[in-house]
Amino acid sequence: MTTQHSEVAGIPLLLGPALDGRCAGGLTFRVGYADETLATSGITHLTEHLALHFSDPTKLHSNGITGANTTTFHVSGTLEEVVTFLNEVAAALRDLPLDRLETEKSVLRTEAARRGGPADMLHAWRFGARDYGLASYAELGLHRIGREDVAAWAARWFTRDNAVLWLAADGVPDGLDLALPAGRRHPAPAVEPWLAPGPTHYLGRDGVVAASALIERSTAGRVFVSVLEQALYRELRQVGGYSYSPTASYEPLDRSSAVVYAFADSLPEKQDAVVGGFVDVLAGLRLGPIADDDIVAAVNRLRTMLDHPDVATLRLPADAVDLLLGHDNLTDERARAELDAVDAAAVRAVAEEVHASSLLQVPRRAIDWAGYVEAPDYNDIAVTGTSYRFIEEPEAQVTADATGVSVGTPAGSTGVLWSDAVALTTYPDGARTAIGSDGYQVHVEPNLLAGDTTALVAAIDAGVGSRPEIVVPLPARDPERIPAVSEPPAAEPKKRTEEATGPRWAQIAATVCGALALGSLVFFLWGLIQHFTDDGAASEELTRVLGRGLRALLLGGLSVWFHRIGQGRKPATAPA
Amino acid sequence: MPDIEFDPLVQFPEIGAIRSAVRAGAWEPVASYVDEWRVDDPQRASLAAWTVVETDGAEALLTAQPRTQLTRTLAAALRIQEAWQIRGSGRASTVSDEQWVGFRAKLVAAERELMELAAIDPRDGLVAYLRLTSGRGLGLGLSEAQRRYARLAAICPDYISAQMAHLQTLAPKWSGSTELMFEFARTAVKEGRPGSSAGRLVALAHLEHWLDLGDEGGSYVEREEVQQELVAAADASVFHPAYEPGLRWITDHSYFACLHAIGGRHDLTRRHFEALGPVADLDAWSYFADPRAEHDADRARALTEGARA
Repeated sequence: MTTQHSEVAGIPLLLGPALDGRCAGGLTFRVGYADETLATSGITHLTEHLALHFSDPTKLHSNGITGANTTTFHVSGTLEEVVTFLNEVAAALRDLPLDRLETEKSVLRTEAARRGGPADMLHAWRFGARDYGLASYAELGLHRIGREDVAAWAARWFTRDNAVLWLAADGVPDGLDLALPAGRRHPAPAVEPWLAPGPTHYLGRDGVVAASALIERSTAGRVFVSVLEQALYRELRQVGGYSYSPTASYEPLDRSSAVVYAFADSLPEKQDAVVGGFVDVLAGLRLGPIADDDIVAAVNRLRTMLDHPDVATLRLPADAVDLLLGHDNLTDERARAELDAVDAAAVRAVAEEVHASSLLQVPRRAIDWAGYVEAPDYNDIAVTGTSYRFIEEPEAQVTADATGVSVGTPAGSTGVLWSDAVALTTYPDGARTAIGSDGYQVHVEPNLLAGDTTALVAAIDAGVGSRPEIVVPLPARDPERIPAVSEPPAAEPKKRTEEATGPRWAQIAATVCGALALGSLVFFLWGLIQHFTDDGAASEELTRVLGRGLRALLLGGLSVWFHRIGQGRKPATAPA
Repeated sequence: MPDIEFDPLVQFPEIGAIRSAVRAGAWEPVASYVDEWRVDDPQRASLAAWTVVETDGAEALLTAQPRTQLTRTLAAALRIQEAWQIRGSGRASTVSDEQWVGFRAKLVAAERELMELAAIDPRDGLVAYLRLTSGRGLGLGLSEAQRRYARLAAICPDYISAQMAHLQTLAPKWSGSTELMFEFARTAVKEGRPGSSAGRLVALAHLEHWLDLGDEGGSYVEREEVQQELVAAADASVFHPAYEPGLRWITDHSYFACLHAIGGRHDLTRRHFEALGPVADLDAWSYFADPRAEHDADRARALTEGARA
């Protein structure tokens, strides 16, 4: 247990001993991407980069981390290095080098291209295109954020009242100059999932099974995750060799909530067994016998951390976050007592809690048979107004009026109401993508629609008119990447899988209207490209996936984003 | 020809008693037998389970009982049986969209129960066996089928009903291939307990392959290497000194008889009909339009021409 010792320049200080003469320190603020909107997303990250413009990570062990609801600048080194770093961060936050804005934006775009995991959609499906769901998205705000926006953001969030200072040093050093403007301590964004409760799933990429669940923060929750990881390892790695590295983790989200993640990779030919083993493991912890040995092993692992001689120092960053979130930390004694009290019944109770909010990403095939409902393909919003048919899919049409824009298909409809929209991206060529707070989106690609679409684009622009703060203008596209209906239409590609033999409109609708997060789709496709290009033998698969992906993008979905992942890569197949 | 008894339960009175109990609406005899076998003898339990679900009155009887591992398992077996009644036994191309929807809905209901039951008692062999069939019908994929079978084999080796179910999944018509199907059958014979029923898997694999070849199949079963493999499989199984007839012997011999008959080897067919005496299991002939007639003809030829060979 670290205690708050005092304040420095009005900033609460957490102090722990230096480790073998090596000091460390950090400033943590109660702001993160979850405080942004989609149209401003990236602004915290951008502020963090600007504040660190002076530092050279090749010379100093220092970095900045923008998380969901906290941002941390940290350093380790000599006492002098620590003091200098912290002073420079504070100075930069007082007066951000805004002349570097465009440079840092381009650095962030480069960083974004490397970011993103194989299961990034979990956040968007649970929370929508807002607060904690923004983890799934590209930093769209980088296209519209200006100097004033960043200055105002820093003034609001990076204040002494919204910060905690932590130091691993033998006493408070002299020479700290951390003057920051006054402000207020902001509560973390409320954890309010969009997703309805109950076990749910959606389909993701090949070779990946992932899960998340939202639970109360608890010691039993941490033990559960450790037991889960052991069980996944045994079932998926040791017994069958289906997965190379199944993992599970427990991540506190705010004062009272934590997210449980579990992940298993696999070769595509083994992924069905990974899905089966994964859901069996989760059911087993909920309903079946849990060996005492497994609990003891989990408790011992956690206890090892508590018993670490340097625990008071090692936990400083996490304690700073908890102080900002308003989470009451356990004393070490209390934490040990709680660990010892965890039994099979407590683990099973957490397993039930996990089940009730579980969201699984599985490849290819629905898992309704395991009791996980499929997340809805449509949000059932349909506006009334003039409709424009898709040239290649006459049964699907786009409609816009003063209240919003929607896409209708025989299987369902998805719409975005302007009152609930979080972003509208615009291209000079007329393409528009409206994204609702629920994460569903409507993409309008004028060339793919029948008739004179000038009025449609005008209606969209007029509809969003009262909310200019959500409009994100994107730079002009390479003309080759502006989709158009090919003449004559290419032959229907041969469908290779049973899943792909459904009605064409169902496939289109799923991509037009599905709750596909912009950024995560980019990452998703990026991941696919990397996955398949890493393996030369998979070129046929690459063609298939890119071909389908491209088709989906062109027809409905997200060609907006394709250029960002497709740079330097020619599409593997011609547009259908 | 003497009257042939095709009802296996006549030979196995303890299973027959279960059928009588279901018909009479008496739960206690069903529960006491099957619950015990579920753990000790899943082969017997699965025969009993199918007997329950194929007997009129099963649904009402199960619904009237408290939900236990056993009643839930049997109810799931009932859903599986209903699923295949909706689907029919034809090839996939003969099944309508509406049938697929109904088939799948029943299997989903069964699988959700079975998944929980397997979680509650990971050593329940009957549940593990039923999950092979629900998983196959749901098309959960080859690697998942193999994972499920591996789990089952770890708790119940030499479980012939489960092996037969898994062999179906490994056949090309479901999730596998000819190679996988034969590899599984041959490995089961080689690595199984001496005198186990696994030899029947070789017969089933050849039968499936012959059917798979369709019009090109022709004389496939007549090939000498096929007939010799069947003989070797029977020698490792029904004719092995360690063979214990148990509940399986009628079905075991019937499969060998059927395959030798298709191959035109009446002498080899005769050995099995002689062992069978006045009983048989028509399951082996079930791919024919008129299984009874095919069986009768095979038996007649074997007992006349087979003697001259």
